[in-house]
Amino acid sequence: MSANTLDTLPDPDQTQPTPPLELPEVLYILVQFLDRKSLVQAALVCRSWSRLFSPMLYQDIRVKDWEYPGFINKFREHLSEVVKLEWKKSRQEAKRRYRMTLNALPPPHDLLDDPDDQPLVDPFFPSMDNMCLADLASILAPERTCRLRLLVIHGETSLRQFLITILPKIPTLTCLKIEDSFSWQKIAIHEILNTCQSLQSLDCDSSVSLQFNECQSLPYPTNKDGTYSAEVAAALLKHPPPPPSTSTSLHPGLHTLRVLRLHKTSLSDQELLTFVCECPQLEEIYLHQESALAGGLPVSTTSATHQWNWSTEFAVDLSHACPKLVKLHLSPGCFQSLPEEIIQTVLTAFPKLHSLGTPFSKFGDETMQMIIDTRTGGAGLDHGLSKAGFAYLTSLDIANLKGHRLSSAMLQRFLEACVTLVHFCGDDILHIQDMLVDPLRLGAKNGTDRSDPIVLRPWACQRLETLVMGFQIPSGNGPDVDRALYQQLGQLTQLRRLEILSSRPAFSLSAGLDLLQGLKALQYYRIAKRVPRSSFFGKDEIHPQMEELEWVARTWTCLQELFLPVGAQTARTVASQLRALGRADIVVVPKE
Amino acid sequence: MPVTLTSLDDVKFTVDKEVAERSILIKNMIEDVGESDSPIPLPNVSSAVLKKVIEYCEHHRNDPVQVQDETDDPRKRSNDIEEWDMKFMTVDQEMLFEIILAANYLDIKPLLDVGCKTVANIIKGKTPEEIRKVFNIVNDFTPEEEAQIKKENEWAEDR
Repeated sequence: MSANTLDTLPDPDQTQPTPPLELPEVLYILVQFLDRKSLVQAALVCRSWSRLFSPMLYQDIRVKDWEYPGFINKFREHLSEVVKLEWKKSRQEAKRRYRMTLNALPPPHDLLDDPDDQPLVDPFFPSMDNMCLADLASILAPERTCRLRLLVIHGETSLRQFLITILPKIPTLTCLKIEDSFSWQKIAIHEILNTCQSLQSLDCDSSVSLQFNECQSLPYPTNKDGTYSAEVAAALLKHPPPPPSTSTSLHPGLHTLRVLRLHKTSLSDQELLTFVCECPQLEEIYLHQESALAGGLPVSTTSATHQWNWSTEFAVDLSHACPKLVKLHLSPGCFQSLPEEIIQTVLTAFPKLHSLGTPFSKFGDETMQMIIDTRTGGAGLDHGLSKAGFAYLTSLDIANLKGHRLSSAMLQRFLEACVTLVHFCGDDILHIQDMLVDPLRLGAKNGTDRSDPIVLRPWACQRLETLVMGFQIPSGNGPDVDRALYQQLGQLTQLRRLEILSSRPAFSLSAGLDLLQGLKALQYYRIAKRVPRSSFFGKDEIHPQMEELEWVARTWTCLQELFLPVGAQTARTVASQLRALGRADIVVVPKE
Repeated sequence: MPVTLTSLDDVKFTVDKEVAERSILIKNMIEDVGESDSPIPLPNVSSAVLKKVIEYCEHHRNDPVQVQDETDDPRKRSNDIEEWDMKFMTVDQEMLFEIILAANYLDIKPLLDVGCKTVANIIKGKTPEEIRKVFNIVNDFTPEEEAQIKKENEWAEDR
């Protein structure tokens, strides 16, 4: 590796074309607003800019970077700049390790049942697999100033070992995200929180068997990376360790946690409540459980996910534990069905709540009226309180509603009343018969035609940044409807995420796609063409033409992900076409 | 309660305390000195720049205090500058830099953010040559140095 050329440059003070950038306080703020591409260009402007901007490239290290030859050496040099780090082990590696300890404790069912033996990403990560825990630990030596705030861990088999070895070396860590860890060792929430005293956000999926109680420290010797040798594994099988004690945790002290995201956790609702009482700073809670009904996949009996039973008293207790809560999202599966009165209790008990997600619930007209009365009408987005003393609603997620308790008339009234709404997800309202979006009935430009109450006009909320709409769209007068729909959606110029989960409009310029040119901030675009039996277009798949892709590449400069109802092969083709158009940054996601 | 600020070139500006305290530096100075009629000297800021800064602080005098959100992605967006701020920032480059330096010295975070967003928007989407043109910067790389930097940073380019 050649010496850093910047060491041999003339005195930087002789060339200071842009004095403010020489101040670190200013530079670090500027860099927050620059994407990687811009940083790379900036580093090529002149010597002093290169000295300033090249290290900034190391602020955000993604999984794909590790595989680049020579990356690790440069990485070591600029470690002090790293703010966000993604660490990922390969699935192949995980399986190899699992096979090594074949007789060990039962692995998570994900690993066994995985029919897909293909690597998750190709090519694979030889450099990261070779780089083991000890390397990372030595790099993150405590005497280096560490800016690392966000750590994302995927596919780590020796998660426990990883956490014990790495976490203490990152005192600045504020966000930790763990996914697909292939680790069948149980981790106690407190182990994480007590190690990372400054942690504000914790996001764990079901691969982390998060325990509420302290785990017994296992006296059995482990390999360097935390796995068991075959002999130890065999011994464990013969004499399994006793189960952990069930007494509630006696951890004193409160935690700084502000954001909690749990996917398919095995915590019971009481454990959750007890834990949450220790985190009075909590502002955002996202709970996602697997629903037996969603997607038709059965809930595995070994994954031990709970369906909770919240009572109104529970909701009130929760409000006492987290008085600062502003966002609460309960995804499908958390409850067998969430009764409307619980939702109403939540709305009353959490006055500061401005973001609510209750899919799979019995959300109905009564609750909607309550929201309209108490949480709509704010003039600005300054999160002031309404006359009734409640925060104006900025985000609502109502998917898979049950019981037909919500009428489209009430939903429309809400959409028109809630000027502060920034995120709206009305996924899967498809099956509710009277929920219809019919742009042709609008008439006037600003859509104030109220004569037909069953017509939905989500574009009434001008400030929307996220719109997920799964409404039915009438199939008559094909092209006119498409065009009208695009025209109305084109008004939502603040949109960052747009998901249209219905059978139209067609993804083509002739259908009016160009009317979305005003959506300059768009980052995620999804169409899920659920073609009904008697398909208007007669095909299941769409094949985007070059014309459309050229338009997308040119117009949506912030686009990061494009979700199309195509198979994996077509998705790859589209991705390479976009790459040829200079947009290698767009990820094309096929239908599942 | 009015406060008097004196610029580098000895020009005096009288503003409301509330407006002056948008600058954390001035706010702390006032707290340290206590109630006093004597003007606050700002030897690092010229009158032309101070005038602009005061204009910004007066327009934003009622804004709520920003809270640092540590859980957000470090990458932020720069395409959300308010219309008034956009017009305010339509100045020549020298003034833009002076405003940024003053906002940093006076510790006025919202103004510093807007200044940096403006610079970021100038940089975005441009080739190095285009950036040089805008900022009037001379390319002092040798061809070998330029190739070296390109190679060293190749990993960061989206592939």
